[in-house]
Amino acid sequence: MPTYVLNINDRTVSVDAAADTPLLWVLRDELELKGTKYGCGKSQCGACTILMNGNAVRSCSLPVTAATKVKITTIEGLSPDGKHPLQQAWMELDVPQCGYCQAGQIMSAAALLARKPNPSDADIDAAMSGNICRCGTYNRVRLAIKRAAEKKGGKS
Amino acid sequence: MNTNEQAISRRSFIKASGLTGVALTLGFSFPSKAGDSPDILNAADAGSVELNAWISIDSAGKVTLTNHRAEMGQGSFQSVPQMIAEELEVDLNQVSIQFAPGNPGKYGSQITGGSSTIRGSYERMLRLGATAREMLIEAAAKKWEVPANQCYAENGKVFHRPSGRSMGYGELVTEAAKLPVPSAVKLKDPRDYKIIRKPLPRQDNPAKINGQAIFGLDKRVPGMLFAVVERNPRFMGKVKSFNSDEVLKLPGVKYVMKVERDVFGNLLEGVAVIGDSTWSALQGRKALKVEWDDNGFEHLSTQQLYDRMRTDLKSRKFISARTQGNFDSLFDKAEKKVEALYETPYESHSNMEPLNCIADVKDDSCEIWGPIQAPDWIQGATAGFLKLPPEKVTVHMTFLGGGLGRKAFTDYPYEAVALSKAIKAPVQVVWTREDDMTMGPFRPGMVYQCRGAVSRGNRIAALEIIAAGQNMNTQEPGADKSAYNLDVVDGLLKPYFDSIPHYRFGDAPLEAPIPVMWWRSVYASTNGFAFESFFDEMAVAAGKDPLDFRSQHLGEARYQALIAKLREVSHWDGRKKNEGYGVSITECFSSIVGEVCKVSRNAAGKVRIDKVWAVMDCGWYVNPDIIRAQVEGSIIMALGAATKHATTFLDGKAVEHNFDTYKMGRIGEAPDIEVHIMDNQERAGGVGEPGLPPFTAALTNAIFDLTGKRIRVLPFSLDEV
Amino acid sequence: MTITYIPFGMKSTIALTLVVASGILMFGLSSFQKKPAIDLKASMARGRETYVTYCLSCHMDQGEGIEGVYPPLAKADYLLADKNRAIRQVLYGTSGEMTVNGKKYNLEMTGVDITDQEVSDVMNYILNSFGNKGGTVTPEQVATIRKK
Repeated sequence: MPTYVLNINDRTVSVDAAADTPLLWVLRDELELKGTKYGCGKSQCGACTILMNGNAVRSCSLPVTAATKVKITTIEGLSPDGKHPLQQAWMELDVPQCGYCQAGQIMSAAALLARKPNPSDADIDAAMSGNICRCGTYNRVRLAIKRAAEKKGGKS
Repeated sequence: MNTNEQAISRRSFIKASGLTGVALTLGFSFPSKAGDSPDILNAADAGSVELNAWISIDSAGKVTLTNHRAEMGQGSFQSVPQMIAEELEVDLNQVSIQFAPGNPGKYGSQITGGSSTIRGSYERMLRLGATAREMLIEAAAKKWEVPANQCYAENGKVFHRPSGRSMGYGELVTEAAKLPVPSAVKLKDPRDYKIIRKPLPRQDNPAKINGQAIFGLDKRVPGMLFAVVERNPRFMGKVKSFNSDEVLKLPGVKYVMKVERDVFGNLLEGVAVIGDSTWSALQGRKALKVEWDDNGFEHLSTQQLYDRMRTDLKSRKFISARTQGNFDSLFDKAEKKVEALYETPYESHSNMEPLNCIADVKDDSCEIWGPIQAPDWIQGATAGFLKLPPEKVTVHMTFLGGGLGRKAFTDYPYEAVALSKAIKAPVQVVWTREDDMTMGPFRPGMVYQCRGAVSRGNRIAALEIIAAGQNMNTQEPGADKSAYNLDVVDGLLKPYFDSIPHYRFGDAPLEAPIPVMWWRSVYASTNGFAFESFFDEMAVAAGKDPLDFRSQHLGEARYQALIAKLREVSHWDGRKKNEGYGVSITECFSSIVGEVCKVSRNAAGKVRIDKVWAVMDCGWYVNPDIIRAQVEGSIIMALGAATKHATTFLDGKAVEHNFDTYKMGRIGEAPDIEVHIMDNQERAGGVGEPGLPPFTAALTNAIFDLTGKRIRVLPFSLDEV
Repeated sequence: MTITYIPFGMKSTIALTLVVASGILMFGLSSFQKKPAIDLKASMARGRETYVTYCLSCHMDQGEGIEGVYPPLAKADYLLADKNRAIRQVLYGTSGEMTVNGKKYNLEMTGVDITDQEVSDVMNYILNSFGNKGGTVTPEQVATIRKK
């Protein structure tokens, strides 16, 4: 099996994996980074969302071959202490219910805030519509993104 | 706050909790007779009884509480400890919470379903917390040699009122553990609650926002392998042959074998590919070719299923479940009659965490880890399957990435147990999204035939509702299919049984080889749409305002209070032209929920939901913010089932495989929702489900109000109204 | 502002002149087929958001795709050859082998559940980004294809 060198959460790691292995399964089964979830395997639900060079990407569809030479961030690496403004806002508004989709939601939101520090409702709809929440936490997700934008003093 | 996965004996409980050796540990001794109240036991007195260690306080003052129910999003992880901590007088931030393993003898019923966690246990939880508190006060009083009634507990300490002295619980546990358990304790007045009724943040959320929460799919056991299973897409079919040799050549693939799972007593077949990683198993499965034997049962389509239901209704082939008066004679001679047929689709649960389970079967024992709603059932089913005594089967709970009823079922652990037994190694069976969506059991599709007569006084004089659809309760081989199904009245407000003089509720069971089961709020999830749409149609026939019409049939004060609240918060009486308002009220799991939906047309002429108001009456309650969250989520789930997704069948197979065809509501479609909670002295009711059944009719009634178009078939597209 | 349009269905062989005037992108083109005006710049900006949400995971930030796995959109002959086919693929997905810029691809693409407006926006973004000069798509065109 070929070896791939990846930059994940500012750490360089090397993994042996079949070339077609999606990054999702490399993260979960090889690197013990299980905060990134399997939900659909087809980029339909967003549970596996990670950041690749700052963009929200569905790791279930990203072959490990395409994950080299880029900067990957997972929920575990979003902040050193779980205190990213989004995570704080998520806590304050008690967003999660079952919680399974929430890492993906937060990663999509992180990419959104990075490119639009002060997102409108339409921006939030567009950026977050790739993330399904079966518990129906959408209204709180929206509020939490706005709360986090305020915390960051969001000005575009 | 930290979480561990199990609590077994007192000793291992203490070890697992990181408690120091000396501790006050209280638990319950469950009576063998159902209905009797369990006794509270002190570990010191437990003797041969295996203690369930619901509360433990060690000499460092560390408090560990048990949650005996699954956490699948509904908040039991917060609300069970919140109840105990209130009476125990400790801050919730100072306690650790553990999941109990499956053991009904120790923990009582653990099935997390029927919105039962609070309503089924709150009196006992309050009593337990209060008992521990009183024992600690008694211990302090003894140490200080003062009367106990001069002492009180607060924030993990006992205070002596006259002298102002205090001692932490940790200093008192050695003494307290020696005391007899008081037989009667005084519970707090709800007005004095400091924790209950407060919107405290959920204790499980830090782990859920930093990726550390362990769901079933995240669990790892040393040496475990990963399995995926190709199951017969026609449910009842058998495996004829498969190409194991080719698949076994693929990297990482270890085993290819036939596997069965027990679905309502039928052994459904599939072929498992077991690999050293999830991906190797998935790749192996791609190369797998299975030939199925699909003889001996019908390969039905949605069209056929619904045709049969309609035919049964037309030919009046049904079983009466609940009747009063003489519907037929009243209806025959009534002047104002209303008749309607409502149809609801089959639905998949589609929890975000697909089904999965780890089993590790040894010669004389078995351990199971997974996202499980019913650890006690799984313990029993596994013990039966492996012919082991139940205590040799340990079922460990993880967080559930959604449950919705599906994870109360025992088929997916069964499969894991069967595979682990065969390969003599721990194995995690992973269901793909496609497996999860196509294999069922599904919410059954239903057709409701409703007939009603309106009296001269513009009240409901007679009502008949016959529900056609597969019966969830009679799928086991040999089940009594002639029995009536009282679930067909689930969701109906109780006073209607008194205020409607002549009624008949019945069911027309459909036979089909499609497994069906509970889906959040079960029968009420579809009954509510039929009942509350039809009441709206009768209100129109009666020429009455829909809310007034309901009000005049629901005389009891509790219902009138809810209606008044609904009227007030939704500004029902102030509604304007070009706004459609719809109301719907249902009752299930001992809670009553009324919802008002407001719709209008947007600039493009499409119907849009402007707002939903919900009023929840669940009686005594714990955490208002969790209740609000549950109602918000219930409404969004109902909206999805009403307007976005359905499972259809063609040639005996489910058609929708993934979220590209089984379309979920997305963030932009979530309406503004405002939830109100009634404050009253009623007993605790359910919270996780009762918010769902009323929503769809509130929406379609609002659409009727706006457009004059009555929607009777789900799902429908909001864009096409 | 006024924008004239690349007539629907015309091939990229037509010479385009990209004019940037007072911050507004304009396509100077002799228009023989007058269409209702849309704001291409705004549509592309919205389309970028939809692209980021639904397309970027496979087709990557600059439409470069992943060679041998996900086909490129940047200067992709397959994409630019048939705009209606591309709209259908966004709506309903596609599977089976395809050849893009001389390389074969064979993976399933799932359709996405988005509005006609969002489809037109994302198409406008894709057709006019990554070095593509592929014309425009209106929500009405999407609606026509959706009904078929």
